[in-house]
Amino acid sequence: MNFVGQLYHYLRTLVDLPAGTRVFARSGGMNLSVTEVKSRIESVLSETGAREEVTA
Amino acid sequence: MPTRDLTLAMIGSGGDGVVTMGEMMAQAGARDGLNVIKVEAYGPQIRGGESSCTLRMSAEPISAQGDAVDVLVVFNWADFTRFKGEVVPKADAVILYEAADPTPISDVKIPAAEKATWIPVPFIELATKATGTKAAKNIVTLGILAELFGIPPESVKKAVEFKFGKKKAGVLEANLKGFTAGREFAQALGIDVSARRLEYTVTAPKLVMTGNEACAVAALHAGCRFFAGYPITPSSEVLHFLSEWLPRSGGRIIQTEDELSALGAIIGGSFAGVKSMTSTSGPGLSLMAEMLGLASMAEVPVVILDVQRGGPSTGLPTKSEQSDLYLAVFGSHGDMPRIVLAPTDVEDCFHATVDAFNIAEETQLPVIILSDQAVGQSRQTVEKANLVHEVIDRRTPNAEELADYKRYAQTPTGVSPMSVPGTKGGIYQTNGLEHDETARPASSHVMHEKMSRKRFKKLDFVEEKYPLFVHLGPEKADIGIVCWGSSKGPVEEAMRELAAKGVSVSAFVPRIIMPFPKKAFVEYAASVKSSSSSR
Repeated sequence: MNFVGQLYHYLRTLVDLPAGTRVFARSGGMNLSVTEVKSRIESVLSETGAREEVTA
Repeated sequence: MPTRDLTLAMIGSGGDGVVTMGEMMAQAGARDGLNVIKVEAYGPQIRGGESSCTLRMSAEPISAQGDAVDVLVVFNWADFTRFKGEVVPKADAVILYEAADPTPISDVKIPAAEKATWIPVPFIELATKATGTKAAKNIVTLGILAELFGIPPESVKKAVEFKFGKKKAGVLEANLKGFTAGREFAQALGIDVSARRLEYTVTAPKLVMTGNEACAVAALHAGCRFFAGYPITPSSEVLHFLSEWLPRSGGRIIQTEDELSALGAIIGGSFAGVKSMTSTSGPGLSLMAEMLGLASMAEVPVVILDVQRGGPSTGLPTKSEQSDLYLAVFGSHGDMPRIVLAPTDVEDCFHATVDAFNIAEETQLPVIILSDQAVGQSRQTVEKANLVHEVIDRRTPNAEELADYKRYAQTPTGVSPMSVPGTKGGIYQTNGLEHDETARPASSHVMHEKMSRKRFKKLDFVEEKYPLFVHLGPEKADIGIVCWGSSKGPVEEAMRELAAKGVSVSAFVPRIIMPFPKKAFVEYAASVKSSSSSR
């Protein structure tokens, strides 16, 4: 939960992330909500029609 | 039909007692064995500004604060507007507001709450009549909430007694009068809010604590007997808690002039053989970067708790952001091994802190605990039986090693025996200079490479022994989520809801960020359908 997705970039220094990995990163100031997580997963499903990975 | 899961939000100004009210309700819920999560929010002025408290109480397992609230209490609409977007009532929420607030109710716009039940309440008038002071309006509100929403009055009353029982004569009695006045007001309302009444069976009591308190308790459990720190939101509670409890446990605490000094002080304490810790937030960790290098070079075990907040700079001091990962993992001059842990909830703050001390003592490395405001300052129920964690102490040199003592002896794990000053045969000097095995300064590039490799070798040991992570959900899933820290709670709840709809989701949550549990992560990635394809 930060603007540049520090965990995602850090992971990329360590391992080859699977194809289709998506990044969900936004600035803090408000705690991550259940609705946000659900809607992100649902939007990935509807966008691709396939199953992708989501990095929160 | 009653509910088994209720989220309440209270909003007011500093001094209105909304946080105290939330704490007493959280205690009442925990006493009855409910699962409770309470979060607070303040403006950046911290004291005297607007404040809100959101409390979720449930008879079912919960992992996150409620997204939308069932019951909203507003002491002041001006303060409410400052939390717009953060505190969102459900469409059919029950909204209790101060009847004497100068803002006309027609000016209050809450689009989401189109079917809400609006209840004007003369909080100030009720409190003044019952207790002689408007300051008790939060206690009056407790009485109203207990009566309307099925929170057993006896449990709330006990929380009130716990809070005010040690105050001067008359304070407790006045507050109990306020509590009763609130209940009587609610009984006379004649409004049906039965759909919002909490229904549950009382079970064994639970502990209720914040993440910061859990870290402080864990530090005591792990044997920490020296703490040095400089107060900074949102980590100051650790300093406050330990300033009371460390001296009672035979330890010492000092408030230093800044964070650089705090880390310097605990390096000294640990060098002297005492398990030592400091706590801070992002700006403080920045100041500690220089001393981090000393701890790593001199191989002195220290524990640093960073409760992350919004940044950079002063940023959002009262709000959460997971933005110190780069600083914790990479921030330093020179090649500097360090360990970084990331607790995921209040209970995990306890375990991460004990792990931090164990790893620090085993490896003689600085260990950073990357908590965040959403974990550190939220209050959650914890099962007492779960707060058990083995403690590992420092390996000191044996007689054979002391016969020809080498403080930085090369070993298979890179960890050398560390003597306590005063140990016969264990004398050595250390500082930030590169050194040889006997701790004498050495500036040759050969020695520098040799000793750097020794220090970094410890990370292999930690990666092997501490592959700390959580795998949520099914062993094999269609969708995989990777998250860390406080994100775990909402991800876990979202997964639960999606699983009920037939969506196959799992999550990988690393509890150690450096060294990262790569092997476990690669195995996890292979367990997710989409991860089998390559980019």
